Amino acid sequence: MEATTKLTTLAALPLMLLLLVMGVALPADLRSLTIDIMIFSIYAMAFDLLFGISNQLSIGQAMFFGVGAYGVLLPALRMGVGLWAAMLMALTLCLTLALVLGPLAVRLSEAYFVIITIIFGMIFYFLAMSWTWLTGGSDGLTFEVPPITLGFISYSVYDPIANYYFTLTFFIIVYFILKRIMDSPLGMILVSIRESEERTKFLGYDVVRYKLTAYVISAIFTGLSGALYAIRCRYASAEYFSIFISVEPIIWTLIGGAGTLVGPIVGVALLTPIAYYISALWKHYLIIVGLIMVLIFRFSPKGIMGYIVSKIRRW
Amino acid sequence: MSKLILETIGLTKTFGRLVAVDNVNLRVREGELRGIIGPNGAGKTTLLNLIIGALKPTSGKIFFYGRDITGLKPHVISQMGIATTFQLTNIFQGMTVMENVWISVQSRSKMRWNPFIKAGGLTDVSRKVEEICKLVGLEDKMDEIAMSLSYGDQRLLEIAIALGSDPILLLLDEPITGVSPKEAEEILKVVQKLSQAKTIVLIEHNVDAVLRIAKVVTVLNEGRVIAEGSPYEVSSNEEVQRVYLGAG
Amino acid sequence: MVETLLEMALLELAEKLLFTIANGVVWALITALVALGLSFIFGLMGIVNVAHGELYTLGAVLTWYSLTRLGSFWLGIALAPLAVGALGSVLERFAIRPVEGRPAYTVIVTVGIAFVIQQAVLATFGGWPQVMPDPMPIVVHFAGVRYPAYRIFVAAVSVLALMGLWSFLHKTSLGLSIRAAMQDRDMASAMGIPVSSIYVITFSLGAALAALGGALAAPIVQLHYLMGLDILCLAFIVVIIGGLGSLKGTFVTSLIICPLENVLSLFITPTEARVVSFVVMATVLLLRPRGLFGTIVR
Repeated sequence: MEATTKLTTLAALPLMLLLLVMGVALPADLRSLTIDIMIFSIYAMAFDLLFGISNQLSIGQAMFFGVGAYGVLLPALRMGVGLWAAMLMALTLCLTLALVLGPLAVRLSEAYFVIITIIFGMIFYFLAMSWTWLTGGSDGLTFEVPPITLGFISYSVYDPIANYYFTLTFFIIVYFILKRIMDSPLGMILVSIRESEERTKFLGYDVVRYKLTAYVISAIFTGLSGALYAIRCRYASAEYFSIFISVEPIIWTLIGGAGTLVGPIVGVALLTPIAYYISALWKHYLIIVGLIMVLIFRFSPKGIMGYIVSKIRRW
Repeated sequence: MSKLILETIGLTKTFGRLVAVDNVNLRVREGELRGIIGPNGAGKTTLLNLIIGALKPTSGKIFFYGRDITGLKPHVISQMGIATTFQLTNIFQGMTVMENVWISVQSRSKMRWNPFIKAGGLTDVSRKVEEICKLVGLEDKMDEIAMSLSYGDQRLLEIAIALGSDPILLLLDEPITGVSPKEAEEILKVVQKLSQAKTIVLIEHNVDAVLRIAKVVTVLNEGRVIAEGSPYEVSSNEEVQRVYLGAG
Repeated sequence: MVETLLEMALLELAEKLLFTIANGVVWALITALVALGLSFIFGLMGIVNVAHGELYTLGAVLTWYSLTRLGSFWLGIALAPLAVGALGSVLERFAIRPVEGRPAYTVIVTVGIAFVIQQAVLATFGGWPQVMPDPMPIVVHFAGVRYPAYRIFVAAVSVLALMGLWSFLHKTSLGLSIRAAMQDRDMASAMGIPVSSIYVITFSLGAALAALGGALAAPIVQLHYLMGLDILCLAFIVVIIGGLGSLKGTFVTSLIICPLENVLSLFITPTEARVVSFVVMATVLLLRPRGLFGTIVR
């Protein structure tokens, strides 16, 4: 844990500076790819808090991603609400949903938790597909994104550079909040629940409450990434709820290294471009994703960051 | 006589047809070092699990300082001041010794929900962690990963974790079973040292060790209390001798 | 005159209801085949097999290939479970065994398997839904109700398979070993039961059951490369309500949930009917976390 902390602090600042410069320096297509990477990274980090830190494997996070996306889209489209208000509504919706469904899920064992989150995800997917009057089904809905207002100034997300810095701001905020949480007593307690839930309970911790906290925080940031993605695409569809969206953060986290926070970002940064280019060439690239999931534990159970951290520890 | 700290009345636990704990009336007083012995399957661990809330009794009541704690959740019972170690070592394997004890000490801190402080930055917690590690003799191994410790040291860490929550009543479930004689001596020394400040219930398979350090000994067999008294009284009890001879 | 009209309307409604319930029971038996495998694999090995839906898909798609390439639907029903059962034993041995004992890892591995199968089916079978002709285009008249013969055949085969499974588990020594290993794995291993071969057999059997379900369902559902998702969701709901690892619970719950969903679908959309099942599941989980028939607290 110490080694990770040092490593990430060391790497974080130059990376942030690089990201700041990249916004203006990059050509349009790479800039847009970087925006995607940052959005998915928020999703991946939120997933890492849930899976990597507190060992709650959810295969239904697309539910929050989709609700976040539609939570921004629908108020803006149907009620003409401003961007900040729409985003606030999206996050509130995710918070509420997590508070309703979370208590049902987090008190269950590992296996039951996986199953029930799969069911959550599928029910939302089926509903989103069938309620076309609300969601537009798999064709989806497009909307005009309201401008980003900051006091008297306002920017349009249709300006790619404005959109870049808009996303970057959230990326940095989420990174620092989650980093803070992981270093705080709460983070430590979640790790101890991962290591031995029984023991933690008998030390006087209300384990269910801590697990629920992790679930809710993860839900809110997953919703945020969905909202940002809808804003960036000016579009959302029922496919945002699909199981593929739920499975993606698993891959990112495993490749990058679960429980390291930076690892999942590395995973996203590595896989997103690959997915872009390979899927253009070969549409069944998901077979590769599947094979990675089957084989990864044999070759690299700790992921890239886990490998680096273990090397540093040995010094 | 000092105050009654733990009392069970008619405590019974059945699993299907098996009566694991049968009408047990236990009275432990403040400052006592109570030993509980009995052959395998006597119901020692089940009794412990009932007290800490891991199992719900079929009938009977458990009182802690006169307050009924029967059926309360484990974390609530723990917060009231009862801590336990486990027969099967139950420590946070992937974390360091310091982190292991830290988690335990933190469970009594009011700051545990504050996300804006750093876990390592709480000085009073860190000081307490150090104190406890010194007490059990792990102060030189604080940065080692728990799973790399020797088995005897893991047992000591188990005790350290239990101490972290600053319990009034400390339950030890077979702390020396399976460790080398030399390590066992060390652990027993720690237990004796602790007993000067805390009430301890020591559940052990190793009869000699318990008879040597406990002041009052309770003997269980097939879920029932068959004898209770000073080590001398208990060891000269005929039924106890029969049970132990019979059990080999 | 008014009375007879009313009577006719009621009669029609009753007939429709009866037909729907009958369909629900047939569907319940197919679901039971799939869910039993799922429950069985979990009960013995503690593995949540997310790829189970895809094994069902494979059963259906292989049967479709048997009909279109070999010209025989019936051959497909016989061969698909065998082929998928063989695949199951390979998967258990080479993909799942290396991560055994780590629940999260095994789930992720089975998700990976699901993706590979899904995409392989998409690549060969294509992304468009296909409908199969009725292999037994006869309508049976029974007590004034007309019912397709093929569905009766499906019910009969499913019941036979379930009875076969039951007697296998209760009357053969291999079945006894499996049940012993389900009760207490370490004890079984100590008694000399070869637990690792039992795992291969169980997983393979579960896979074959799922494929049989898929093969039987092929002519009455739309064939699609994602058809496994729907049945997986239903099977999970059934297994949770019945109690993970409880075979009796799985069977009884299928017979309750599927007709219920079918009847509800007369009034609301099938998806909304699924939401009702979900609410039933949530209620059961809240009131009785181990499920209706479960013995293990999970």
